[in-house]
Amino acid sequence: MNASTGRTIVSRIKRKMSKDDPSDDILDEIVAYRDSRADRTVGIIIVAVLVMNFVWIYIGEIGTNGRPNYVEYVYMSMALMAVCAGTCFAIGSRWWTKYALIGSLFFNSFAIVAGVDYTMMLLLVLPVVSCSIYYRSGLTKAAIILGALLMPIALIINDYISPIFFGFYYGMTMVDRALAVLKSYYVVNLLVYLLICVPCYYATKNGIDDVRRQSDLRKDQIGVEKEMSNARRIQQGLLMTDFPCKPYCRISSSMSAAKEVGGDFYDCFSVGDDRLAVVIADVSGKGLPASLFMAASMTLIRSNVQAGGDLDKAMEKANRELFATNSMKYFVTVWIGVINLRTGQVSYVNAGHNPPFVSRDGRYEMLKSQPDFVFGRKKRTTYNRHQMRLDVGDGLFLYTDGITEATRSDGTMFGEERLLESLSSTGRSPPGEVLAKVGSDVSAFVGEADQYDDMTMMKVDYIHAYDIRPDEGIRVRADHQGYTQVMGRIRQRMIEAGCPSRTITEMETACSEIYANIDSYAYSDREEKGEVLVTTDIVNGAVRVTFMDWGVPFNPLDREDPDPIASFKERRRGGLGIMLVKKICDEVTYSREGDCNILKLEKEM
Amino acid sequence: MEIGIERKDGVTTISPKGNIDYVTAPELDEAVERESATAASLVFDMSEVSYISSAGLRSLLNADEIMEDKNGIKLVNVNKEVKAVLDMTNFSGLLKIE
Repeated sequence: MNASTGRTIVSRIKRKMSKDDPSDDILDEIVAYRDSRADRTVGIIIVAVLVMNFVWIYIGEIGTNGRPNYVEYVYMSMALMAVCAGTCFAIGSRWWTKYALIGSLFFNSFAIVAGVDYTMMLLLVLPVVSCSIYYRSGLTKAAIILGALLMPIALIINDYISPIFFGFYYGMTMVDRALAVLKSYYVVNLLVYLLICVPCYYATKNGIDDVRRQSDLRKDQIGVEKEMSNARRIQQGLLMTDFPCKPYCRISSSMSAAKEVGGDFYDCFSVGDDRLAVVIADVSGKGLPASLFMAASMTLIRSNVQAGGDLDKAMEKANRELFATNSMKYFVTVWIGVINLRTGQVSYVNAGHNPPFVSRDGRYEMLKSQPDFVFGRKKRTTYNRHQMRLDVGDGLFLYTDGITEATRSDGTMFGEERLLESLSSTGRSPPGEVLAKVGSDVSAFVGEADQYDDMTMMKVDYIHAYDIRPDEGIRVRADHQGYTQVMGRIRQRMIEAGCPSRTITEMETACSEIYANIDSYAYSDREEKGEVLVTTDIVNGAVRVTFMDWGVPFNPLDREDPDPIASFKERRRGGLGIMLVKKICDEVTYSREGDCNILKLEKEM
Repeated sequence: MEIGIERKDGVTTISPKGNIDYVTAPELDEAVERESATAASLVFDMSEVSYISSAGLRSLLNADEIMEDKNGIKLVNVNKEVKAVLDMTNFSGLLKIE
């Protein structure tokens, strides 16, 4: 049945009457649904009535008892009923179908009583009974009155056209005769009729009340659904997208909840000046309670880790605090890592969570560690702090078991191997693309199968070491003793800045060359060696070492590169070091400011 | 700089430890000069060298020249960083590296 059209018309009319109260829409919806069901029921009643009519015709009741002229009305009413019911079944409910159906029933009952047999008078109660299933008191009332009025009319017509009892009334006026008929048949039948109408009317009233109650319940349900979606919004708000780590890390995250509100979460927050914590977690359970537990876990982890101190101790404290609030015996699996943005050193704790993957040079490998007990479930849980190091350019891929346990319709899980394969295919793509690739691989794998668990992922790329404080520099006499001090200082600054070891070694080589040059040439014109000032800074992800001396103007970059293939005797002794410096560094610049030689070496980290 | 020396069957293995730069290269030169008198060939074990500067390269070149008439020199256990420097300066084509 097509209920939607009926619904729109009913609600349009209702809305006009009730000043756009949105809650009436729900009532309209239920009423329209009831109407369509009632239409169908009345349609079936009509079919039954038609069968009854045919039986009467078959046994001769209708064909012989009535006058031929009036019997035709019965046939007409049957045809009308058939058309109404047929139409109703064919096109579905409309606002007018109930009037057509009830009307045709009235017509048929009336035609039978009037044209065939007045003892069938109570047949006129049938339309009233049919009305009562529409749950419209107005309609039922109108039908009761109409039936009560049609009964005497039918009776009088029947009497008037009946040839059998003509002699009985001989000599009476038409009015007297009608009154006599009404008195002897109508009064009693009317009482019975009204008795039947009473339960019909109350059935209608009760029906309306039921519909009202149902619509109230539905309204409550909508309220609950609204609260759920608000909870989801709050949860989404907790899960940030604007991470506090620019420009040192590049982070992307994605979460798709299996139910409205999920139990997975991820987090990312600063710890002190130069550290960044990344968290991924999975709460046992789903829905609103799990999301509340999630919010508590997230807050406690954050506050305890941000308070500083060792990560394992902070997590143990957070665990105790969460356990104290855990009346539902939930638990969380958590992987938390704290990245030192200066050095790339990562301390991490794994509370029963899936091991993350580390990306290095476009390759991925699992970061295995013995997981500790889940979080929030046991009061005295000890956690172990593990260590690893990220070089600039390396990254971490965190995920929940919704990814690895995403299940195909044949029961196969996505698994760690497929995940590794999917990750490896992304090479050095930025985090957003990595998540998109894994997401599409998982959905391609799962196909049409339902998703039972939240799927949450996070990719953190360590792209830029923390800018260290500007270097006030080290000033030494340009001799061998100064050399050791300068080289030690340069090395220490680069380690602090989190330079990869290879960059450190190469820069040390280059700086060694420059220092050797200054030592040899800068103060060759005087008896005592002058000073050299060296600063080491990180500028836009590059190491910059600046040498300043106050010796003779000397630009080492002017020298020609030597030809190393030439035989040793022909080889010029100098120039090899500078060639090395130029090859190692991305940029080497010389300038003379006043009486000062300034040489800058720069290399990307 | 600490320099390990090991003599065996006319082959002397010289193992410098640390950085070979303009400060330490003369020590290596000294060791080479000393050992070349007796050794038939010199082997440089570079496993403990973290970096080598041009001064160090010159020392190796010197050694190569000194030993030219004998069995020459050879570098072993060259790490990535040192190999990179040898490559940059084309020394890897000039010296025997194992």
